[in-house]
Amino acid sequence: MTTGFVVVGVAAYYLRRERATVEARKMLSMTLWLLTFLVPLQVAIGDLHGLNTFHYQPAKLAAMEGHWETRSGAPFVIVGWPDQEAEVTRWAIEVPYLGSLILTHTLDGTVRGLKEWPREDRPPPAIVFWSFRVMVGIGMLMMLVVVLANWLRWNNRLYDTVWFLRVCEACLPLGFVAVIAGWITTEVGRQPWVIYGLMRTKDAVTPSLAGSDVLVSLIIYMIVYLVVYPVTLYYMIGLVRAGPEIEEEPDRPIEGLQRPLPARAAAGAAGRPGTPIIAEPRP
Amino acid sequence: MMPLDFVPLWTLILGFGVFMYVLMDGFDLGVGILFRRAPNDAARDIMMNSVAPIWDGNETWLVLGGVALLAAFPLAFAIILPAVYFPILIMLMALIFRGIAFELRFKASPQSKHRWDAAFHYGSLVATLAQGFLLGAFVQGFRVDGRFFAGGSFDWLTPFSVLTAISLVLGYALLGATWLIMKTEGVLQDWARAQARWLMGVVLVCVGIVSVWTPFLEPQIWARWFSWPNIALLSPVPIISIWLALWVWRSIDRRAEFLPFLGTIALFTMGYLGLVISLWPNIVPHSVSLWDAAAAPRSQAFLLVGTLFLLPVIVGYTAWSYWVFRGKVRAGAGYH
Repeated sequence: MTTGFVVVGVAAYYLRRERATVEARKMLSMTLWLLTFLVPLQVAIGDLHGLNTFHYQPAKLAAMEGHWETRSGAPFVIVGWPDQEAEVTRWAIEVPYLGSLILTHTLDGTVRGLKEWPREDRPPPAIVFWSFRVMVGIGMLMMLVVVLANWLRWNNRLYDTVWFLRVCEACLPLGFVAVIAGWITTEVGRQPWVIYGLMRTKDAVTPSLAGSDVLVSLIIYMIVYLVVYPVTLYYMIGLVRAGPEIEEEPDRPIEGLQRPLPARAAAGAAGRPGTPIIAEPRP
Repeated sequence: MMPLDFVPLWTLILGFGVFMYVLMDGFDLGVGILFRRAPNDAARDIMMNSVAPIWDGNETWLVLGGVALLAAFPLAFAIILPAVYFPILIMLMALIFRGIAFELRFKASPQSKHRWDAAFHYGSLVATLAQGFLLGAFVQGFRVDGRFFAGGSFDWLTPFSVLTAISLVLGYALLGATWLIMKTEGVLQDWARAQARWLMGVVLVCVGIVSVWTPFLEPQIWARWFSWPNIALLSPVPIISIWLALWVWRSIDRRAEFLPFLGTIALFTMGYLGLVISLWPNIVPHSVSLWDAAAAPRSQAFLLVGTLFLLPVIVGYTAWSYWVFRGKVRAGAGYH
């Protein structure tokens, strides 16, 4: 899905500028078909994963939902601020019974709250609560994009609806954000356990490793990531800006992709995108 | 009935995985070490293309070795990994820079290409140095208290490990040079022959010093090699090694294409054999044996099922990719 939204975003970028339109239409069309299957599938898998967490890591789930009290017919908290000290979720906007419906698939199912566990056995609720909402929110947004795409396709307006293409471009990085938010949810939500219920994370630290060792290695990781990701991003943006080359198939296909970026090799002139030509919306 | 002992089989799998890694990533790291010395830029393109389709496959053996150690010999993993925390961290970071150089060098502009040359060269060099330090620290053994590593995070830095680090860089460079003799032609091949010739000399000297030094590290190693009748039984190991070195030299002078690489592999095999003879039956040298470090027999059996299916697949696709990319590498033909 992450890759799919990148491809869709790049295709929309080309279509809005009327560049490589044949390729861009194919990119947009094929990938939106793929996403039409993948996005609903992800929602279904997400539900199953939630039920699994509800069963095996109930404290994580209570933090995700912002539930403090164990109760049946639990509401679903749309937004709010889980306050660790006061043990309440402040400014909560709730939908009655929806929490139980999602987690137990019945209206009056019992959902356990964070107060079931001693304070030292709870994950930090605010991080888990919000990273989970970022992930789910993006999932819902993706669902909306897929629905809109299919409605536009039905009306033969998929390739020239400018506002939709703009939405597609804006959605390009969302998959990455959702993946990282989900990762934060699951890893922060499992705290303070590294082996759930058996071994605490602080007891799993290598005895010989000093705090300074950990700090130094963390800094090394950060430096490497801060070099590798921007540089790779720079080349990927360059590849997108240069666009697909329209030419005959090379004699030996393995040679095909092995050349410098045309935009850079030709020092600008040839491959650089011109003034954007924005397609007019249909009347 | 006695429960089945899976330790010998797991030792074989782990030993095979590590050895395959040393040989295969060895020559492509060696190509990286020689990279900046290459006669010209066209030669560098060919050098990189000679390993581009296979280098990442070669590194799967590193993953296999690491996971086999974790799963089958968890106690050894728990002691060794903390002891060589920094060499492993630095090795992995260097491999990242080397790895992205393969992808980005061909997409870079002519002005920035040299940066990726540097990333490839220094990535290969630093990763190899880190592996050499790891090897030296491993042979020397670690301070162990019960089931934990009891030393400091920089215990791995010793005169002996400095020697093994330098030796491994030269050894990998020799593997890389003989690989290039096999895979290239013309000016580049002549250059690779010249490199291989002097590298063979210094590698022989380094291996000699390491071999003489090692028995002095531990009385146990001394006894293994120099007690009777071991001294007679094991004397073929150094003799064959010296003979192999001479054979590699001769094959280079006779302008053989494939034999120098084969001879160097045989030489590495002898070195590996020497290491096994010195350290057997310990997996954490001088303190923990293979059997003491082994996971429960049922865990080893469970893991064996998957591994025995997976190993033929890895061997199969490795062989296949070498077959597909067999023969000489010529200018302009890469896999990208």
